[in-house]
Amino acid sequence: MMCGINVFRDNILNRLNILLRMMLNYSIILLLIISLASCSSAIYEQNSYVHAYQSGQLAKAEDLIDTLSKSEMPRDNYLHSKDAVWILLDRATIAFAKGEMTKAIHYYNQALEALDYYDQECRVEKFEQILLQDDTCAYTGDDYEQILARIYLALALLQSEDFSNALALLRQAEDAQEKKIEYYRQVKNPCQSSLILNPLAKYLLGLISEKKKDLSNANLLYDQVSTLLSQEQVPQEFFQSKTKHTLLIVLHNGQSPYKISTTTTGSIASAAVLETLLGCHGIEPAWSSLSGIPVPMLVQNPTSSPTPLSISVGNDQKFCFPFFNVTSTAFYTLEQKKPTIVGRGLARLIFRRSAVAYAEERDPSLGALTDIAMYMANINTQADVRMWRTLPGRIDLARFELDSGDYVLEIIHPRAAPPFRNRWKIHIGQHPLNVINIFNLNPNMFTTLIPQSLHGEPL
Amino acid sequence: MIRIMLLSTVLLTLLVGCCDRRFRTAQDITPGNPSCEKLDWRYGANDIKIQTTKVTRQLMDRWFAKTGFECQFNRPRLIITDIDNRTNCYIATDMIRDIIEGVAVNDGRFTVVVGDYQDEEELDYIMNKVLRDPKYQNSSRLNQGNAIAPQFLAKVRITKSVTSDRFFDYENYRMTILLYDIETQEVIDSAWDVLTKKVRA
Repeated sequence: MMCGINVFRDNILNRLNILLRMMLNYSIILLLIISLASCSSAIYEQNSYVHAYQSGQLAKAEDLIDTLSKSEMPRDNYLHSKDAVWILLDRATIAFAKGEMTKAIHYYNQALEALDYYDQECRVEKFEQILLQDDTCAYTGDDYEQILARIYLALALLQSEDFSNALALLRQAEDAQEKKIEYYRQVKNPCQSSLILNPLAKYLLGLISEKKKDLSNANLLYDQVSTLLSQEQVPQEFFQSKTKHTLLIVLHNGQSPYKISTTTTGSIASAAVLETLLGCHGIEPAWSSLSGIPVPMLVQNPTSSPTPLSISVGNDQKFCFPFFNVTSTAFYTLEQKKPTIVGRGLARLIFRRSAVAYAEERDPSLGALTDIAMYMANINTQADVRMWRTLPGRIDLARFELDSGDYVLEIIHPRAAPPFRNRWKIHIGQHPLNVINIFNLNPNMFTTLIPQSLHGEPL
Repeated sequence: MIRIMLLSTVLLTLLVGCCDRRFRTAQDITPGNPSCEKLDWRYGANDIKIQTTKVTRQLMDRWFAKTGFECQFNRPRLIITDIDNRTNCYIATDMIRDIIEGVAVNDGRFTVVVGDYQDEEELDYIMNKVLRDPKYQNSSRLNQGNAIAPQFLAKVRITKSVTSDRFFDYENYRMTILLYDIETQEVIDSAWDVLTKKVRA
């Protein structure tokens, strides 16, 4: 009787063991299927509205991004999408370029809220990034994008003539820069402060402080701007003046670069060497290792270069001065992040390679099948190419000091064929600071946003 | 085999439990407020309403005690000309306007005029209108025997200061309301309130 029970028990345990092995084998296959699955479809929709935006079809761009936003974030709730930050920033910038300030301010505010929420660290996402793909985590933007989000909200508020809140946002941008510098100092990460410190934010804060008669803080900020832009030698006209009214032209010039996913040839070569070495130790080489490590790369449209614009107000004519180069900041930031991206890709490759080795050890046929499936998974693994695509390539400024009165504002593109001139009649006198935003969407397309108080009339 | 499965299950459970993005909250640690109420970490409508109610009550209590004015048939009017945001947070001026108007209605002892003073022209227009209003006397000093309600200019200022330790930021939001005599543009009274929040850094 006891012998029979023991045999029965052994049978059950054997079957359980077989069942568990089968489950483990199938879980490897399941892992491969998950690896092959695409993680985010929103990024593929981005190209369509960005193309419409950059060709000047702002209404179409707005419709496309509204559709995307409704599908990704039902009821405008950013909690539903890990891509909420870049969707909201693009949506806000399109509304800004269209002149819909209330919408722009609302979306920029939402974007900053989403940024704050998703900036909290989540360990599961870190694990998912290594296991699956870099873009499985929530998008929070690079440091320069986080500062620019605040600057753009401040510019939208200045366009709406809400100087008080614009000042609050610029203070927030200043605090954010200081916190980031302190954070990198504490974690001993050698990060160039020039990638975080934004001369445009400091200049705008200094300008508003100057207009509020806070001259000591204004001078301090202007000195910092001069130090940051030392190579370009900022013209003296950008600093204090004694006239009553200032007109600031903000030119959002050119198009920022965008990311594509590529594979480093060095990683393929290193993997080939590794497989050869493993082969010398009796371990079967795996073809899946030869897929390489995906990394993002920045590319630019041929027509994305900033356009040199000449602005004339009354008898005064000047070229806009470049204050912040988004393109070069994006390139340097990516270069700094590449070691981390490659390290993560390497960890992912090792994890998948060990799964192949484990399957091979269990059963050579299963190992071969796993190797093929892992190769497909590795080929389909993409780098994180998400970014704020509606940013300009460069932000330029021009400053005019004027007395009260009527003026003719003229925007001239000297190299355009046919020659481009846009003329407006404006009235200066109601505010000490007046800000006009000009969006250069492409070399032949500009939108000029003139605040209500200037009573702008096209000529 | 079973050990590996159990270990993997425990590890996954721990990792899943670690993904806790929470909405940031703050604690109200204002001295004198024992409740340590949980607030939104951002300075917003709730905080402005609490502070505006306290500050206007202080101002009105002092003014009514000093003047002995009866507000049964006429109520003094505050004309808010400027909402000066000196914090680093975006505070919608529409929201502040609505809150101040709501506080005035709830209090019942005074009225308030708050406008979107986008430019001097609009401010001049509204000042012209209120100064000529026959129901209101522009002097904050009432004439004896001619007890019509006075009106004041008022400015709302919100400032912020932050101190930090390793884990928390302690944010102090100070709201000040200043009353000005319309004729002399001198400050005649002011009141302030500080709200202290403890926010996880």
